[in-house]
Amino acid sequence: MTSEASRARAEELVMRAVDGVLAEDEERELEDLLEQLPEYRDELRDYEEISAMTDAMTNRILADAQIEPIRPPASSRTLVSLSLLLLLCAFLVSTGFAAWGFLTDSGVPLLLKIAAAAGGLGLLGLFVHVLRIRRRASGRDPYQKIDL
Amino acid sequence: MPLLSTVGAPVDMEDVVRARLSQAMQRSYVAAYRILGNADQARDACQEAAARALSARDRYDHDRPFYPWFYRILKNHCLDHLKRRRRTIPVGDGPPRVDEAPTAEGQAVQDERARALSRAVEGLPMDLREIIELRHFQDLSYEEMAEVLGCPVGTVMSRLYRARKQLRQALLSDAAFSQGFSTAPGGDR
Repeated sequence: MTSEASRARAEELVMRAVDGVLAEDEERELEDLLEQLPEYRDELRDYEEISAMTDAMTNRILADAQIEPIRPPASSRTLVSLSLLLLLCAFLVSTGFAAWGFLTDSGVPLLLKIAAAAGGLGLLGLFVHVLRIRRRASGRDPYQKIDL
Repeated sequence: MPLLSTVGAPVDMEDVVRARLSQAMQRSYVAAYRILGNADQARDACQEAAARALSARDRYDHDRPFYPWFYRILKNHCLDHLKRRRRTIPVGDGPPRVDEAPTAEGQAVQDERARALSRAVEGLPMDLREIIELRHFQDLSYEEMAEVLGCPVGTVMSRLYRARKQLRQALLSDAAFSQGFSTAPGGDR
């Protein structure tokens, strides 16, 4: 191999060594070339040091990063909100209708009506509690958490 | 645009892009941070570039690497942002930290070397600087860099070599960095 060609090959292998993509036979080839052209040994060491420094800088950037999940598109958020609203309306109308029938039925004992009303109020209280927790959580995080 | 998966079922392009975006988020954040020099702006830039990528998903060729395509969107977005703010491109050596004061001498030396390296990268010509950013800070493969830069892998390697060589020369002439380097500053390289 001519001197020019050896240098070109050494430069290529030095690059691949710094980037950690040397094959086994290339490692041996690089070792041979470094014996012939020792100045590339210094270059390789310095490039590896630069690489280690940039890795440390990147890690430092990422260490403090709070990378947020991707926000869902507006169209998808609107569809989800609309669907939830429709479900809520259907639930309220059907349970309200059933509850009204149950409470106004003279055949049902008063004690049972009171128990059913207490159970309904309990469920409503829990529902409001969940809504409040969700509202507080969404105040802290402006983006919906979507696992991507 | 729905595609066909290997089993023949349609694949939603939005799902494909979302999945690849999630894999690309860390390096995208680093890229945006390196251009904008600010953690909050980098986060916002990633989100906005992701939204742009999702709305332009039909233009993504799913047979090609995803990140180079997304990086172009992100970079354009960051450069637009900088243009709007009429600022020069800052290169930070890390996000602002509350514990900025070094706790030990060794840490102070490391910080000074990191700043010297940032200065040296900043001083490179734009094409060489970009290739250092792509390789060292975003960890792109040669093939991905070739895709981003629109040139063959051989050109990428020779440009990367030139960039590293120039960076090394700049660091050798910077006393803050050259200590511990293989040759003393001003030596025959």
